[in-house]
Amino acid sequence: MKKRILIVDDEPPIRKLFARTIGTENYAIRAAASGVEALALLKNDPADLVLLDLNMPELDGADTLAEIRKIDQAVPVFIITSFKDAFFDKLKILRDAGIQFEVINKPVEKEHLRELVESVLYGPGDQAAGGEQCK
Amino acid sequence: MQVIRLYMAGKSPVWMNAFDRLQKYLVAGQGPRLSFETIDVLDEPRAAIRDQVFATPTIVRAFPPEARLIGNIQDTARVARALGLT
Repeated sequence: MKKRILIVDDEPPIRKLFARTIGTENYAIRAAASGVEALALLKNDPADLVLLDLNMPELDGADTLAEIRKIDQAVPVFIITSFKDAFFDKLKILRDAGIQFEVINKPVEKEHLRELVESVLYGPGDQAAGGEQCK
Repeated sequence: MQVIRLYMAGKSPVWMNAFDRLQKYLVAGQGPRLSFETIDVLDEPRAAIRDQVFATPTIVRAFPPEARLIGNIQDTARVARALGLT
């Protein structure tokens, strides 16, 4: 059975790029255009990994993460952000509340993203030097 | 002194335990030439950028030639090999 990945981003080109980069042949990839849509999907069908954009309208990534943790305490959630992002303050509040998450600094190299996903879901492989970027 | 850094978002007990196991494994094998640091990217994003860390968790061997392992860092022997320390 393929591992299930949920990509949450309000920008359709980004969702498509991440899905194409990770590879639909190896993973069961679903996409959500908002935090609300992501929560609805997760309530009906859990994921093995969530890639969650931080900066989204209405329910942003931090608020969505807090709601995800009410549904699923264990699923690895990677917040896609910038290490200069002003929204870090909100992530610190979640961190200080004991909510577990990881972060990805964008833009991310496509090869790095593939390796990260594989490492989290199947264990570490050899690390690569770099390549094309995802926004 | 050669530095091994663990970059995390917060202080995940799983990653802290994995890093602690790595530290014991490496110190037992190599003596006191290594030092170990944990860095929270939410508090020190510039350090992450300096070490070209793009995601958490990442373990970086900061001395040349640089090496790193991203994602699942729980297999101590695998991490040590990836960092070129065995």
